[in-house]
Amino acid sequence: MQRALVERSQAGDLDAFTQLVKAFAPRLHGVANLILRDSEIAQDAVQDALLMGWRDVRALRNPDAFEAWLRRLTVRACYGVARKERRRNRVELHVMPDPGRSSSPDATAELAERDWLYDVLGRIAIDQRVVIVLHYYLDLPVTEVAEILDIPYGTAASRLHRGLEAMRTSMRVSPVPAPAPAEERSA
Amino acid sequence: MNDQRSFEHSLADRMEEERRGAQLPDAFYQGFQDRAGGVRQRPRWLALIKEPPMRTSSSLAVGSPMARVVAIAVATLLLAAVVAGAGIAGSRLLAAEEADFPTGTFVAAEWSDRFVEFNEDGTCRWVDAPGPADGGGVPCTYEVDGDLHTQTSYEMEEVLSYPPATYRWEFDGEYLTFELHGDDTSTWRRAYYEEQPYRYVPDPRLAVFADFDIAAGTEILAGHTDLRVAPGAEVPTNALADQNLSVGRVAGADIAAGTILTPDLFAAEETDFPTGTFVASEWSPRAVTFRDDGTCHWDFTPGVGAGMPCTYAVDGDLYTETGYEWEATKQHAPATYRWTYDGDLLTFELVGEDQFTYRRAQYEEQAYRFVPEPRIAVLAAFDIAAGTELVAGHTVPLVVPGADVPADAFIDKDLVAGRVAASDIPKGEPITPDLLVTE
Repeated sequence: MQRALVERSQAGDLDAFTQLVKAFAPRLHGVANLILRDSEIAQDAVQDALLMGWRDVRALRNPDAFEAWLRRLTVRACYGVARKERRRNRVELHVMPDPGRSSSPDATAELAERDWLYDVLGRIAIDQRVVIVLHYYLDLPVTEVAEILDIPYGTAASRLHRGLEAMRTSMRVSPVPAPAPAEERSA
Repeated sequence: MNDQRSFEHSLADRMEEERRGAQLPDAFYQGFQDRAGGVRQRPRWLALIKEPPMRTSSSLAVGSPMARVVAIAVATLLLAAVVAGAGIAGSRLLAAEEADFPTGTFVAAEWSDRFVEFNEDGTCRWVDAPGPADGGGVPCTYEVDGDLHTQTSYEMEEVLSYPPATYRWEFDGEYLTFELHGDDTSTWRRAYYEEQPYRYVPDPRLAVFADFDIAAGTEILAGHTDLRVAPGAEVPTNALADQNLSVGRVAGADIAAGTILTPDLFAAEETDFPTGTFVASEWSPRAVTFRDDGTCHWDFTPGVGAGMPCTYAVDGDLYTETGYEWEATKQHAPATYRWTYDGDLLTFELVGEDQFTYRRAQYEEQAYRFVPEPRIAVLAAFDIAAGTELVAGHTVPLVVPGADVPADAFIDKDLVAGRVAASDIPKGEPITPDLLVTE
């Protein structure tokens, strides 16, 4: 099914490509969101990646590699956006708590811990963050991460190891914050 | 090892939760279709050349390395041919072709505190005496045509009506010089351009310089110093950037003219810098201890982790953190802060520069309150209703005055987690066994 859609896309069928987009975009957005830590900027990055995909889909020799290729385009777009954001001196962004979730103390603590974890993730170098996101969020083996990033296996493994180490170090000196009082949260 | 595994499992679990909830609004897909409708697909041969090759499981999945190599070789040959042709034609048409006008900050090469900034967008700014008194200098605009530089406008109240003036410029990689080309009815501007060459300053920073030789023991006056722009690499991190900081201080040794002033050049002053333990005055677990022997220690979560050992020196109202040991950064450049203490609150204000933003946040973010007889206690992080089962976020370990805390208050928040509040516990209350339901 996917193969047929890719082949139709290569023949210029935008509807077929849009079906592929609907299947893959949410996860790609998840990847971009964790790398860039801003949902809207991540959406822009994914859109850019998908447009590049649509433009160059005929470069795909093996239609089964379509998803891996889209991941690569997304990571490449994220790097581009991150470079632009750094030039604009933009401050790192925030992960907002999901308003639909319960605000019981347990959930609040969980949210705080989640935000803190992502805050720590945002503090490490982007090269390491990308490897961590691909490995843990997409559940990809390191070999596949290395293929997507076009780097040797050893480099990917080293970035993963150092990234986790940096996160742990950052957590030690900046532990999970206490949640604000209930009335402050609702204000 | 177990900690590492648990951290990785925790990370993996969080990521899995995120993955499960991944979704995008319909507007995203509509936006994509609208944009994609305006994008033409590349023909296969071009896409194969343009898209970097990608391999999956060792087989080529995307792009064509061979086509890229051939395309690059052909493009290089064509480009070389074009460049060679243009070079030959250009050399015949133009005897000497222009170089790029340099942009950046340039200081007057002679003994002066004047500098000028030329920006790539065609704006510029002349500054005669950096600092608050100068009011930001004189903004201007300029254009460059070959070796001719024209100042097209400048904003100085008294001389707004002066027409543009053109100068022939030269830059040897370090010095930028100007020579009048035609007329300039503004003698002010002409003096600025022609009086002397300007030296390029990479990574410019403001610093206080000794304007004269200053003998040891001399009380420094405003006229002894000058605020100038200097290359960042030549300016110590704790250099003074405000002349007022040196006024009234006494030179601790002979200071040669042209020296950049740093706090260690002054004679030590009597100080009553307070020692002891201080906590962040706002709601935060951060605490710092200053000892008489010049050592200090930051605690970010009292009772958990080793914190950060440091050393410090105090000279009058200037406090310098001379070193710290934090494995994550390994940065040890000193930084100087001006301190004040009103008997209760200790505050710090940066003097010069601190390359370590985390440390700057520690010092400047808030005031620190002195804690007599400090001890660690686990406090309620917010109002807790009776019957609530306590989780990690309900409590926080803080450094508090020993007299304010019952002797049996918990000092380890892990011992409190999972216990149930026996009564309402207000925010800030030390957690003691009698506030919890007996297990």
